[in-house]
Amino acid sequence: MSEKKVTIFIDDVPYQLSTEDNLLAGVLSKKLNLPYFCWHPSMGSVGACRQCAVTQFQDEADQRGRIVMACITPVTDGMRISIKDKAASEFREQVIAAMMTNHPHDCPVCAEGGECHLQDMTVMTGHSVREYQGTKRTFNNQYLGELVGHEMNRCITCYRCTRFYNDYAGGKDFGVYGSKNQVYFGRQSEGDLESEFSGNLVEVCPTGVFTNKIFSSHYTRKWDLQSAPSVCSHCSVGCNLSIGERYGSVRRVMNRYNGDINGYFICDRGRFGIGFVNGEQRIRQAKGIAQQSPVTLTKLDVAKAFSHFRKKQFIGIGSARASLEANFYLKNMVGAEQFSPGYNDQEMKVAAQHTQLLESIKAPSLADIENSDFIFVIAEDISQTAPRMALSVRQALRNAANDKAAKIGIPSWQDSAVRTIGGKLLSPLFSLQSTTTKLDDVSEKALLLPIEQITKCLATFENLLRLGNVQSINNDKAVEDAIADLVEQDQLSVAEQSFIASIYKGLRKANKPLFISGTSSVCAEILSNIANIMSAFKPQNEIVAPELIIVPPCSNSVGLLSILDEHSLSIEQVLMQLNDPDKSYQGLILLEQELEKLSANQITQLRKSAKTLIVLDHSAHRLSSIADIVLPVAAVTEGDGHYVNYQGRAQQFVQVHAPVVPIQESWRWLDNIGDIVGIKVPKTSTEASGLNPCQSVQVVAKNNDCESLTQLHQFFTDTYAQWPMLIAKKSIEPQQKSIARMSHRASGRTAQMANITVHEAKTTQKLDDDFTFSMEGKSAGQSSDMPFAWAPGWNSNQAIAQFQTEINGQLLKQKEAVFIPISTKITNNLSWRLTENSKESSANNLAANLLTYVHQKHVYFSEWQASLTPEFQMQRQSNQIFINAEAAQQAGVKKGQWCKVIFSATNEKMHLASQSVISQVFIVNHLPFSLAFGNFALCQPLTQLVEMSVSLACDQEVTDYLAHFNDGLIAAKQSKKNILERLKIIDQTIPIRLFSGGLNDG
Amino acid sequence: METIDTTTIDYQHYLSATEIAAIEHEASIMETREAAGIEALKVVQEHRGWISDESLFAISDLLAIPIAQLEGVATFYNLIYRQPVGEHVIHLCDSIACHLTGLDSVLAAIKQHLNIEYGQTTADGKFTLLSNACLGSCDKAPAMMIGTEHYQYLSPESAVDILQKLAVKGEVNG
Repeated sequence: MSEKKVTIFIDDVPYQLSTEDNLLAGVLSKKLNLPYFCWHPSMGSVGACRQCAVTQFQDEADQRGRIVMACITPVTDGMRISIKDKAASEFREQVIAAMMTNHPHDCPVCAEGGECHLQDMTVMTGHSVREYQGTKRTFNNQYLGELVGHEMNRCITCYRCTRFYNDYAGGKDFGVYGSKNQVYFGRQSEGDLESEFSGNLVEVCPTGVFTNKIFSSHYTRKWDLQSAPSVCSHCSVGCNLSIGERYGSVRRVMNRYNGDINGYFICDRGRFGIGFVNGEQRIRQAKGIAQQSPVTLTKLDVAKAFSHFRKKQFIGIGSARASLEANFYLKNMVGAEQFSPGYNDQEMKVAAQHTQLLESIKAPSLADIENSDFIFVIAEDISQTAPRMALSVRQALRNAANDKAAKIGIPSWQDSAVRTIGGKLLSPLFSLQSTTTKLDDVSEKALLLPIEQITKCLATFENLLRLGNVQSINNDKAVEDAIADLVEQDQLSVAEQSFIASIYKGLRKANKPLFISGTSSVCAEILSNIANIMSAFKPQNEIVAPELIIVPPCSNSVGLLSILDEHSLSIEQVLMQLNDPDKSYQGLILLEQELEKLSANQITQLRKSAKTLIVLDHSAHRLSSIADIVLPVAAVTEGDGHYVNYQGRAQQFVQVHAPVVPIQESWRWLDNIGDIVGIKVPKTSTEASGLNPCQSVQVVAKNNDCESLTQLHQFFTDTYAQWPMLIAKKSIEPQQKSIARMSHRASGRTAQMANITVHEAKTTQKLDDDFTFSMEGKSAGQSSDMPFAWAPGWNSNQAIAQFQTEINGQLLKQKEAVFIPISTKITNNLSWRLTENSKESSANNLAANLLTYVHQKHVYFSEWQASLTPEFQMQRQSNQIFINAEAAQQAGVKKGQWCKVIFSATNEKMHLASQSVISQVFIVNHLPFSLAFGNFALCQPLTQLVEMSVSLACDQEVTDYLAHFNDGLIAAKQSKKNILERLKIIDQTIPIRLFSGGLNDG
Repeated sequence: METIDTTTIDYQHYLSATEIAAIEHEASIMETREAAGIEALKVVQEHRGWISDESLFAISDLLAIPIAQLEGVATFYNLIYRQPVGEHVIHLCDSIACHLTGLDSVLAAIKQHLNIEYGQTTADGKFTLLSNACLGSCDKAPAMMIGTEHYQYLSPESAVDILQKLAVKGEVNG
């Protein structure tokens, strides 16, 4: 950014400040202390709280000056201000004093205490004595769902909550009520907050009005938390998290600033979905291994259990939620020819297309998204599958208003002024989906179509682009004519044609366009269409080629993709191989893989075909219950590893706390087993010469377990040429070592276990660890991966400004991002290429009078791990189906009515399956007749094209369904209670050796 | 409190044709539909005396304004009543000028005469007593507003007199 720096004088000291931002941001970027409430680094200024007052002087001679609010004052060359000036500092103190007339003195019982921005600012202004003797205004609090608590009496009316929830994140169910001294922030009536970003209220609120309810129920002060830098395990964006624990249980997730990715905000799946780590489904003991010692499972036990598998051949199924290390290890243990990513045939085709796109196009970061001036989202509901990305898309749409404001000299940080001048003006967003999405309200056009029709539209769009390369299509009329010519063979409706025309017209005006799609629809044709479109952009067309993002479902989807090759097996192939009499497989190893998409029949078949079924996982699922051997593995907070985000960015998640034995990371288990089962290593060049590649590996027993992630990387680097060398480098520089996981003010380490022993336990020691399990060590800010944010005088997360080069800039200790190379070897396997045949068959399907049912994605439930969180389950909604108005009329049903919906699938020969669902019906205008979507899943054989009949449900059916549904809610509530009880017992009985190495002898 | 089915409420069943027409007229002369929110609240209040939760949801449905946003508007303005009020709503100014010129005795007289406190409605449904931030009549204080009329230079006697006249005739000078 070419920004202008000017010299200004703050208390007569010269500073170089950028003129791009306001005075408050400038002052803070110089690490000077100036209190504020309503300003937020990414939400800009509104000048509401009057807290950041400074004195501005006309010139050197001016001794008196005038008070200005720093957050709404631009930085100008040579300006002279004073923070210390008596008038300004008294003013700031009095503003706090006024707020304190209503703020309760309940800090000791407030969850915000110790990391409260209001506390920090109060101390900063020197307001230490309360003189107000009157009554305080009081409010009734609201129940806002299971995630966010509400305590309105603490409110200081800074308006940050509504500015974030409504203005920034586009929420609709939150508001400000009343006036004067009776201003209330909340919902119109009690109920679950609907935004995917509601959890950010906890961090945005400068005091304790909005608190993390799950954290509050099992609470620890910030200064007593032990935190580590982590990466979200719930989607492919890879938001950076700071996860805090105490006594071996995870307490909470906070945002960890990363200027390229999540900035200051994360979604609710990331913040609250961590519940699975403490969940009831956790696998805590090994199954199928005879334990000799009464205390714990030993390596010898494992060795004995696996001894009869020595050098036996297994098929291994990896997973997109397991670390890059674990997947890589498994692949090399079983061999490339026996490795499967757990994808079915269709998903393999998608993967093949995806690798090609990843290799050829570098996806922009979330920060880059926010600079886009044209966005087209195709067949992926990012508002639910990658919510943080949708939040960035929302910000990008404000660029049109920012530009308009800039033309009349309003800088973008003048939030309220820009919003006023902008009105409803938004940069163009186009959305082509099969379900409604939470971005529809800001879309210029949102078209709902079945997936096959979407591919047709994309094909026409590609043809239009190619036409534009050879002939000039330079006005609106020409665009429409060109489409009309093109569609004769494609048969598109008027709405579809006009949609394509709008995109073409929009693109012609765009300077920084962006296309976003994803793999949710499991449709390889979509990705292939997009690849064709990307290749159709030619310089002579005068249209800027867009950037492209493909959103996969999981935290390590791209990491898994990067290790696939032409030998990788699909699930169907795995089943075939297991049943192949010529190949005598010992069995199947499932690495953190629940195979969600398999039908019950396929699971039975899999179990029958596999002689031995070994499951490595952290939580129980269908396969772990029928496995011969189950190895309990570490959840994301309990181990080290890397995830690779949608861009190919490899990020390390660091162990937050030691797991209770026998739980350990998947790669450690594989390392243990590798000693016995053996691993495949390449033969040296002399041995391998003259052999085909398949025979160039040999099976060896892996001796010497890797004791740390560094050792594992060293072993990979030494043994396998394919290991991405970039990660082998230590991700944290040596001089940054030994960063303390606890704050310097952690209280009473000596007293932590006083109920058990008076001896201070040895802290957990980890080889090659960059962080210490202690308050001893360098402060968090010394690292690019800060375990938590804290600076003197800044106890809340707002301390981050003290560690940024400039406001919203990089961290002072920022390290370079690591992008791993993506291999397209998988495309060498002809089975995963798209053939003309497959394209036609999918197109022909539409001809039949059938309907596509799409299961709408949901932020809580579309990711398996997060969906296990009981608080999410408690907020589950009853069945809803969305159909077209004509279909509703035919069935004689109205919106909101309870209906019985019967789905059935038949092919020419026979009736395949049918399923009856009791659901509330809702009508969506502009939904095609052949498309319906809902919030429930259909059974496996009914995935795509079905017949649907809708009729009013009788009272008994509805009562039965609701009773069943309520049972689910009650079970979730019970589960929440059980978890809390268990955790509170653990707090009282922490086994001493947990601290020194993770052994559980309690 | 009775819960309202917000998913199935339909403005056409709840609002009268006259109300809908008046609101649609307001919406047609505004830049955006949601800008007509305040006028819509006034229209419905004119017909029904106050804004019930049902009215609020119906307007939200008609103008496609999020209910939270509309409630924010409704509760911000003190002339939109979110609870049932009497036939006449007394807005008694409680700004500093009125306090200096005898508001306390006027208020005491009104309270005694009507036998109600601030925020209450008389048993016969005639009067509701509310306080009001400055009415802008500081030079003619104490002041109050009932309906569209302002009454100034109040004394305990004159205030009670006004209320008595209103109770009988429905207007003071009639």
